[in-house]
Amino acid sequence: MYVAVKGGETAIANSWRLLAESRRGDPAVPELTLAQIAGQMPLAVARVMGEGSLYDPELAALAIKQAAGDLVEAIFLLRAYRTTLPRLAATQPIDTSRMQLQRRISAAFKDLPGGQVLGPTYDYTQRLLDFSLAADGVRPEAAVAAEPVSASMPRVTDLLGHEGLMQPESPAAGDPDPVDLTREPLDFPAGRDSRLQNLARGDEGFLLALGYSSQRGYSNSHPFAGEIRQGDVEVELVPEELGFAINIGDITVTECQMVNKFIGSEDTPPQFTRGYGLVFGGSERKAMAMALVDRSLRARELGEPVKSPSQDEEFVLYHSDNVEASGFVQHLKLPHYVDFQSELELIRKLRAEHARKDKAA
Amino acid sequence: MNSPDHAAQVVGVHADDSAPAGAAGTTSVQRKGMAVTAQGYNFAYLDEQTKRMIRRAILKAVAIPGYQVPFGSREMPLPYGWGTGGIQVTAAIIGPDDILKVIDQGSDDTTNAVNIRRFFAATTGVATTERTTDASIIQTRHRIPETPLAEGQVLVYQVPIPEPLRWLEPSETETRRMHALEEYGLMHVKLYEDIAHYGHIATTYDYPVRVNGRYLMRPSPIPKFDNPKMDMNPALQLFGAGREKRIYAVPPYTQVESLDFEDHPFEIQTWDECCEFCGSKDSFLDEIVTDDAGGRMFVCSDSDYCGQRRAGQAHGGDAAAAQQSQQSPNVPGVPGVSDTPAAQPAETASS
Amino acid sequence: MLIAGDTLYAGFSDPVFDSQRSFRAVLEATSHPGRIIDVGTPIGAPPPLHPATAAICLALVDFETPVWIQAATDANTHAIENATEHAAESLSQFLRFHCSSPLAADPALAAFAVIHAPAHMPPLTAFSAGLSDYPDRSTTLLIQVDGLSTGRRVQLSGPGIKHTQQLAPSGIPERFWTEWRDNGALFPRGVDVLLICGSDIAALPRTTRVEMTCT
Repeated sequence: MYVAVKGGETAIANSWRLLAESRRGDPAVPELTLAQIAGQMPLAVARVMGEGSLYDPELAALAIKQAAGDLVEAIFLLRAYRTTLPRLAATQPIDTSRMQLQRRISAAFKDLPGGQVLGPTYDYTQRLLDFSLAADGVRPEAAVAAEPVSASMPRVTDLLGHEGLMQPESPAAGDPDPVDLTREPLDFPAGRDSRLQNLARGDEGFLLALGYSSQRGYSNSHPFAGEIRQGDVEVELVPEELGFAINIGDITVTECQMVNKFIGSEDTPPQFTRGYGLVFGGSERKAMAMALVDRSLRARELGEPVKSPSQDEEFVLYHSDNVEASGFVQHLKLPHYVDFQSELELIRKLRAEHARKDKAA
Repeated sequence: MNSPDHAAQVVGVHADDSAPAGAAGTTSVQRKGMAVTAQGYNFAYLDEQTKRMIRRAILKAVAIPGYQVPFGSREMPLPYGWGTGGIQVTAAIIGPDDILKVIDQGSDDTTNAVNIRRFFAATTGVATTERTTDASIIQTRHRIPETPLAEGQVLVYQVPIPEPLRWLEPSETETRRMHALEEYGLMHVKLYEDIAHYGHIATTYDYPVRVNGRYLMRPSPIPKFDNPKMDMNPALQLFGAGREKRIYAVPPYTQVESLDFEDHPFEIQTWDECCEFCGSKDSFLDEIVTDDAGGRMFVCSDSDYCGQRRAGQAHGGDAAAAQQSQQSPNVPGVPGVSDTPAAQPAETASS
Repeated sequence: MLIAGDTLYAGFSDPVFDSQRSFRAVLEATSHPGRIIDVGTPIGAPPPLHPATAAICLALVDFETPVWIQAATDANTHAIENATEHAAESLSQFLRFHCSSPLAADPALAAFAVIHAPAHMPPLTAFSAGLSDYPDRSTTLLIQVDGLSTGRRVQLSGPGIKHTQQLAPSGIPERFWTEWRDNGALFPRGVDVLLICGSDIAALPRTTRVEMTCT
């Protein structure tokens, strides 16, 4: 019996020890270092940082190691650590137009100022298992480009904006501080700030499925990948005593701006609208899914009918978080025998009554 | 003393956040060394700003009995659905003089209860107990102890889904509106459909209640057997739902009514069997499967209650009676509590 | 530490435990309306702040909770003598310094209101009673009175009170009780009140019904 008897405390301690041993695996094989995880599994690290809401590759690598590679568990570990950190200040918004680009592509234009920059991507690899990786000592090296990436890389949405074709995005009156869902509960109707923060922290798989459903007719969006860019941006802070911004470091992000047709309404001429995705590191799939779902969730504000799961903000925002979802799904492992006893008693009573009725009939 | 407070103002955080203190020690969390121990955290784990936020929510919850106060639930080092709401409530109220009891399914020794008790022992250093009567705070999942609670005690419930109307209406916007308008007809219809269909109300746990004649409230998944104990209870009852980010409360001596109909009054479960260990006929019994040929035995779900009764029996009925009256000085005369089964264990013991 | 005149007004000597103790006192008071509870955390408070008011503010107020202070921001109280103005100033200084709390100019926008001259306080309807779907978004009033057992006796009932509870606050205007009855009629909306004298408090959550008793 796993709970009902005395000895729970000892059982838990033993379980911890067994977990530690099985996480480590065969001691004859060298132990993974955090540098190896951070350096050679950057996409796993990026996902854990993004959904864990903490930009720290070293801690994310630790979480992945501790979680034996279970990324949802690693995200949970990082989140639980994050809550204990004091708030020191809020940074300035990052400016992705000033990004040090590693990758920049647009599906909307064949060519554009700055050009298409493929960067490191799995997109054009052939998905054949590369057995050379099974051997040690492979040290691939990339060639250096003949010319540097163009310093001027305007965002595609800005190019469309010049013509008035793109719905402008401007802060609400008075430019209020955005909501922080890690400090305040969700409130409905949710503002775009809440929605974007929720999606940025949301489970990649959940957003992927929802975004996919929006493409298959469960919502009426016609997206173009206006631009995806990945690279380093500066994080700036304005200390009150200085009064001007100082750079406190760079972070790697991927930004996706989906461009959607909008036929306009009584007061708005036809134009393109935007779905926005921004994630830490190279989590491009997540950035794209996020942008699709962001656009779907704008149905209410754009006067579109709300008919599909991806447009239902309560449905999406309440179920996107994998730490919440994982906890609640797995809590079914906890003992429920008091409730089950109550149900047993009822079912037996109903069956007895049913049998009496049958006999009487 | 000056500088931390002042610096905090400058950067917009409260001084206490950067100055963990308390019995657990004052070393700051070691960031890169990874040697984070319980000693590195603030008393009861939460930072002081978070505690203030939760404390404010608790006070409003007590002022508006049964109403669910939204709060900025934090990510805890235990999974959502495993008691994070109850833990945050307990962490916000607990002090060095408290004595904590944690139960799950009525028992102190279930894995989840053990885990939560360890968490607080490590982060607060407070005394813990398995004795219901000795505890000043009892955190519970799915049960109310059989031993009547006394004035001054706080019962903290872990709540998975706080919204009583949730199965009937999935939208939070809608259910919030229904509470505002006191529009609870849907719940009555649901219960009445049960009666039409099964001849009984088919809800056996998490049975909806009306608090102080106003708010419809979910008592958390306690068996309906426990519902009458909530009514006019001398203890303060606090409910924490971490994942759903809600806190609600039933103040002491507050009317808590289980929904029913004139022709189908509310009833609690009964057993033909009695507890195999202590002989109780009045407590909630767990069914234990003893073999694969239909063998069953029944034992008290409340392990402390059962243990106290057995100890009492070992010393004779008089001792049990004396102990019982000592345990719950406030019980006589409290409506709704004096007639719960636990108030007469001495009789049962001597029978 | 805050220096007002020649006196030092420190915050809590132990912020973690003193906050917890003060909060538990408020929780106990709110759970048992009308019962007089000693907050019991010794603290220096600049006049006219009573020690319990200072302790409660330190325990519950912060940058997330706008505070309205009587007279400091209310143009309608010009009738109050200069001493009160001065009092309000030292009070708001204390709150800004120790709690980093923003001051609310409009009582309807305050999470907490500190009232040191109840005779001149605005009507209860001037404060936020919350919304019908969010009744928790309402003002909690900290009202300093001259005594909790020396004034006109009222009889309280409602949640938290087994049968009835007596309370006899002095220094509270008669109109308060009429306003309190109207406040109760708003339920679930409504303000909540803590009456404070020295280091003692007594709570009147919105559910508490008051009957005037003959003296």
